[in-house]
Amino acid sequence: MRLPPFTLHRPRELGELLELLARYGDDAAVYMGGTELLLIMKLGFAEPGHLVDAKSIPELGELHVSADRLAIGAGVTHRRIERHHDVQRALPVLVDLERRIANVRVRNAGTLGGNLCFAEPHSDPATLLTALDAEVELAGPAGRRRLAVADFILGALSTALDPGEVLTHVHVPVPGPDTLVGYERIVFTERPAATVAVVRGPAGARVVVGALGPRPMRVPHAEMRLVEDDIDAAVEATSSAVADTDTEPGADYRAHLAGVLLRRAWSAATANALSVPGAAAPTKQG
Amino acid sequence: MRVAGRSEVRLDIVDKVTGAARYASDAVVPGMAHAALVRSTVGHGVLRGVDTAVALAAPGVHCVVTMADFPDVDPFYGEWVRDQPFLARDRVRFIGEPVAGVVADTEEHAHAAAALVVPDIEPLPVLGSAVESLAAADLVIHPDRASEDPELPNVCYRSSFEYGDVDAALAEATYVHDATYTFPAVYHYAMEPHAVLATWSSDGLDVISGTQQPFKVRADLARIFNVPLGQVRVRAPYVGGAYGSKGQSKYEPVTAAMARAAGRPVRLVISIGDAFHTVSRHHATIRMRTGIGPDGGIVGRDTVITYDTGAYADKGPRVARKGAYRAAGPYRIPNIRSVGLSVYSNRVPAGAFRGFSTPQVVWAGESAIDEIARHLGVDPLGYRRQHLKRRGEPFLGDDSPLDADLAEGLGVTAEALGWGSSVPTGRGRGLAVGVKDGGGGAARSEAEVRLHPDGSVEVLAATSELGQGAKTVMGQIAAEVLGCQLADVQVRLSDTAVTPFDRGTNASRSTIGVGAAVERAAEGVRRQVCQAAEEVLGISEGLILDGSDIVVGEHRQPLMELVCASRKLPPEEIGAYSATGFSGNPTGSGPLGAAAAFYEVGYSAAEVEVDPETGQVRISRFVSAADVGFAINPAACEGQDEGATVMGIGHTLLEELEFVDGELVNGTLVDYRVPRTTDLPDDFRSILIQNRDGPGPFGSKGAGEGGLLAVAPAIANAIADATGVRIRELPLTPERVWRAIQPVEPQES
Ligand SMILES: Cc1cc2nc3c(=O)[nH]c(=O)nc-3n(C[C@H](O)[C@H](O)[C@H](O)COP(=O)(O)OP(=O)(O)OC[C@H]3O[C@@H](n4cnc5c(N)ncnc54)[C@H](O)[C@@H]3O)c2cc1C
Repeated sequence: MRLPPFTLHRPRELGELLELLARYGDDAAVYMGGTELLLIMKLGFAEPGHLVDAKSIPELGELHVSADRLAIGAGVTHRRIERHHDVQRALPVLVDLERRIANVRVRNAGTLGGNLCFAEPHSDPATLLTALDAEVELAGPAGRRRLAVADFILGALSTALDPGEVLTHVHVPVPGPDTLVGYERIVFTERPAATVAVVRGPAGARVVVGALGPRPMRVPHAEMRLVEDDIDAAVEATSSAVADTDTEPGADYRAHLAGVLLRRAWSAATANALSVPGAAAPTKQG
Repeated sequence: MRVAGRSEVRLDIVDKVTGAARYASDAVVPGMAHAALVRSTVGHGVLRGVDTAVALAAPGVHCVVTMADFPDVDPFYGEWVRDQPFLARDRVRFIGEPVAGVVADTEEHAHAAAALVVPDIEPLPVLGSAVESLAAADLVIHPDRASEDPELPNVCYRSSFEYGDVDAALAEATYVHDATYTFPAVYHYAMEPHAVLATWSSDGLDVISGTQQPFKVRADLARIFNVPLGQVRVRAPYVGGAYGSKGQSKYEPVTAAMARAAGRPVRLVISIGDAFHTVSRHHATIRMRTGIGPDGGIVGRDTVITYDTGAYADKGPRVARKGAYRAAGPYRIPNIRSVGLSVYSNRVPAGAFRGFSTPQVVWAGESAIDEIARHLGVDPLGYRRQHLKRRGEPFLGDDSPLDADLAEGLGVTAEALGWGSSVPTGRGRGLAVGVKDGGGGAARSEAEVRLHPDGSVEVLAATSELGQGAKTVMGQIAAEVLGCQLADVQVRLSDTAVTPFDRGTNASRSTIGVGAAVERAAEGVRRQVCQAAEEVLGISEGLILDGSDIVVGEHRQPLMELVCASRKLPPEEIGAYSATGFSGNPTGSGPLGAAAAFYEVGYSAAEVEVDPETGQVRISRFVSAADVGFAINPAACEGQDEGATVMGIGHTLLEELEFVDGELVNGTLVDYRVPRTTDLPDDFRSILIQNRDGPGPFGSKGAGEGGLLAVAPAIANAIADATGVRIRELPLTPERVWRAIQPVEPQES
């Protein structure tokens, strides 16, 4: 449980960061809050010779809120998001989620970018951001590109980051007043045991289940049922989708939980909507 | 009383809050080197050798030791059964067992070199639990030790108690309740992991260790290294929590061995991850059969408890014996048979843990009583009150008479919860009582009190300050008896070269044992002062000490003058008044070989809310009552009671060390979940019962374990009340509860 030796680098701008990553290749790791990275290094699961601390790169610390989107730099901590008044106004469900992540020590150091790049299957934000159709912006030797969060997280601890590439921003569309958003989690140990996000807008619905598989899972059947305003059927579809993919002991319980969480997330979404004047109210409730 | 009975601020609070308090891991001595241990990654195997060559050549390394370096020592320790070598000798028996030690100039070098040591282990099949090792006929974990049971080679210890004719009673009973309960292995989680600093010199062996039992450690070290007791010094500075995990020897022998080999002082500080692999609470399976007579009375109880003691005995044999003794519980039952088995497996050794064997048997007994009451269709409170033993009846056999009014105490607890009033929908209520013979059997405690001529007082008492507040309470006892201010009392921490003998800070015994010795020593000092006052002033009635003065009636005078006048010496030559005191609980009568010094009683009552959709249990209200005889420091007593309750909530709802083939798979604080503030009951009350009927100073009894004993059954009984469903397996995780409350229990896929 001790940190292996490493060299620490502190680039001041993005170009320098990419250069260092190119130079040290596999032997380098981006170091943001270190809440995951240092832990796995202490456990002996990773031994990078070079840690590249990207916290002082101004671009990565940006946090912009406009009428229709949030742009969150990869170096923005959970704590900054949860205390940000504009984020609270634009996307209260995200602030609510951020407040419940881990504990204040982890949130003070840990970043949203680090959370997504680590791709731990029990991530809260990954579930919600997938449902919101959020995107990540990446920069690397081949330039910049954007990817949907759903395409960025490939599996447990696996992302679409190419060698030498970094995440620079997370772009989150702000749902309009005619869109309902809800999120629920259940926690037994340290990280959530199951998470569910639901989004219902004029263009359709999203139901995403997290923590029950290697990556957030969309449930198209449940989405269809939601579009038909049949929450009971959506709950059932969500449970079946988990039951179909989870083969570990206790899968029936987890499948059931996913359904319970969807129902609760939906109630929260509709309750939120009712409390916002002018927002859409559902026509039928389960 | 002026000082005793008040919630005095702790004497160590400022140092602890500011970080000035020094723990074993803070100790530094000149020339000190650092150690790291190499631990087995194999759960069971033959240790064929250890290749240390590469590690020896690593930077900063002073030496690398294995058991082969200590042919002259007797490396074994353990209570009653000495089976654990300080480094593995020819076998490894659990993952995490130390096989070699590295001493280097820095901690970093020591750990880097430890990774280069290569043990050569030929794996043997792993016995992953007591169930597996009981079934294994020809795979023996300690082949060189005779088993306690001729047919079961992996039994470490067996203990039984029998009164009356259980078989006949159960045969004649109108109803026999027969159930098996399980209790998980859990981790102590002392915030400070084990830390030891050992130094050899021509004065002998000097050890600084965060231990609960400095004198026991001294005896172990003297035996292992063949050194006279007078040449072994063990100091226990502040200890950052223990809960049983720092009793008897832990890492003191191996650190002393490394220091001897290195020829310099050696410091070993382990991590939380290693502490997870040091000692745990026993997993237990309890089969309990209880016979009920036609009038509803309990006619017999037959219990078999299987404690999984892991790879080494540690305190397991004693745990099995005490557990068997306490299994029948505090009820009037004419026919009793209890068997306690301590069984080896290739798990982390299990030893002492707050409550010492009792939470396991109270879990079974108090669940069973509730099940029986419900079966009979009677109120569980009323049923208990009817059949609980009365004050003055022996707990078992010819043991000391009960010194508590159990029915009354349980009634007070139930009333505080609102027992009998209507229960809010979705909720349920449950209660339970746990009784443990306190004080830990035969033992002697000694203490010394010194009153200096300037009015300041020193108390020398070998109670380890584990965070429980012993330092303050010892000071309050001395101040009360001497008639001085608490602020003038200095209580010294344990040091076997300075503080008189005590057997150890465990079994809720310090206040009644060491505290009584302090009381007597202080009385001795007071007698000397009063005698001097009689001689010099002609009066001593009502004498008190006020700073540097004595006050007798209207008369006030510096103590210094009194001492000078009485001893006929100048101020710089007069010395101090000092006296020693002792208290003892001798061997003799009682089924355990020594009469119980007192009975530690814990009452728990819970109101819970079960989420039918997820199985999550919320403790809406909780009342805990502790029978402390007299609370010398009420805030400290409440702290102990509440802390014990929260620890109990841990094994009830959350905690379980999970082993797969002997490997601990959740041995980190991220994976192993202990209670947090958010898990506290919404409404949480602690009641102190004070009848001044204990053997300790001012009628006090021991405290600290009682609050934990009955938590699990109280909560399970409340869940049964809320849902109609009985769960006999801890912890009561959401999944377990959800499964239990399904109309048709779903099969695990
Ligand atoms: C005790 C604990 C409890 C937790 N509980 C929760 C919880 O309840 N819910 C939840 O969602 N999460 C939880 N987490 C996860 C937490 O959110 C993450 O640890 C944190 O957000 C990671 O951010 P970081 O800045 O510390 O990442 P780091 O540890 O610095 O980095 C993590 C990984 O991502 C890489 N990386 C980081 N930033 C970039 C980048 N910009 N580009 C490319 N690669 C990058 C690093 O190289 C590393 O591999 C918990 C973590 C802990 C330790």
